[in-house]
Amino acid sequence: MKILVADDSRAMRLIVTRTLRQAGYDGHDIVEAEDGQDALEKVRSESPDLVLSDWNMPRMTGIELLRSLRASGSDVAFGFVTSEGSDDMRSAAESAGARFLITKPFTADTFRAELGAVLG
Amino acid sequence: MTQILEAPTADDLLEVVAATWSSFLGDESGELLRPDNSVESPAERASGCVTIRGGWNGAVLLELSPRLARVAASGLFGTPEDELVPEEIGDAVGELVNIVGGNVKGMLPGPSELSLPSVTVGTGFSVHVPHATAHLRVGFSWCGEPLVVRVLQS
Repeated sequence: MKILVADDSRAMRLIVTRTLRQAGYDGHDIVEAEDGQDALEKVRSESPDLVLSDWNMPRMTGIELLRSLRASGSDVAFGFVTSEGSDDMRSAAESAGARFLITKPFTADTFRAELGAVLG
Repeated sequence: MTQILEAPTADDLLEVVAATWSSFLGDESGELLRPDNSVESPAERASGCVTIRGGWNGAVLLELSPRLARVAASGLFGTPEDELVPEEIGDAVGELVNIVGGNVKGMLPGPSELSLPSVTVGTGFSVHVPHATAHLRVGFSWCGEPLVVRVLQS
């Protein structure tokens, strides 16, 4: 499978990739995006099976990215990996079509629990 | 369900910072990062800041010694300290304050927005957030290096 990791922090993109490996998901192709606009373009060009996106990014936020994808007819599996895990954000994420919201800091166990339904 | 507070407490900051260091900086035992309110903000430092606007208004600041900033960046990037470039240190400090600030935001009345982080590196500077005053300050020692977390409230 192909996974798109969108975060304006390169450090966090590395950590997400590292944690995917630690969680046992090391056989997948990883594509990186540095903000929501970059991610939107790469969903179109790379056709990932899963998008893991930060919420707060320059140019286009993660929630704006998700809403743009759904408005365009894309049903790509989408999950947030964000420092902000309030109830209202979880509700907004679910309403927009996200399958899960993982809060930072996270562990490999968290990834296994949340991504299992998508990645197996 | 997230517990909603009127303002973060020192225990809240201790918990968030400890969880971050444990998850991302190899301190699974929790023995390396020690609360220590006697630490001073280092004169030469890397300072990360995020603001929160909405149901609660204020800012969260992280102040790290240059050595601690390099150690943290090395841990996050998986790169030896002597191979780091300044942008990577800024990225790391920015992401750390984003994580701490985001978690603080989650404890507070909403809805509110978290800013993107800003990072300043140097000597003899101070960060001022308009209309905000000091609410909370928590100090840590990580392998002898100082880390100070400050919360300002508007």
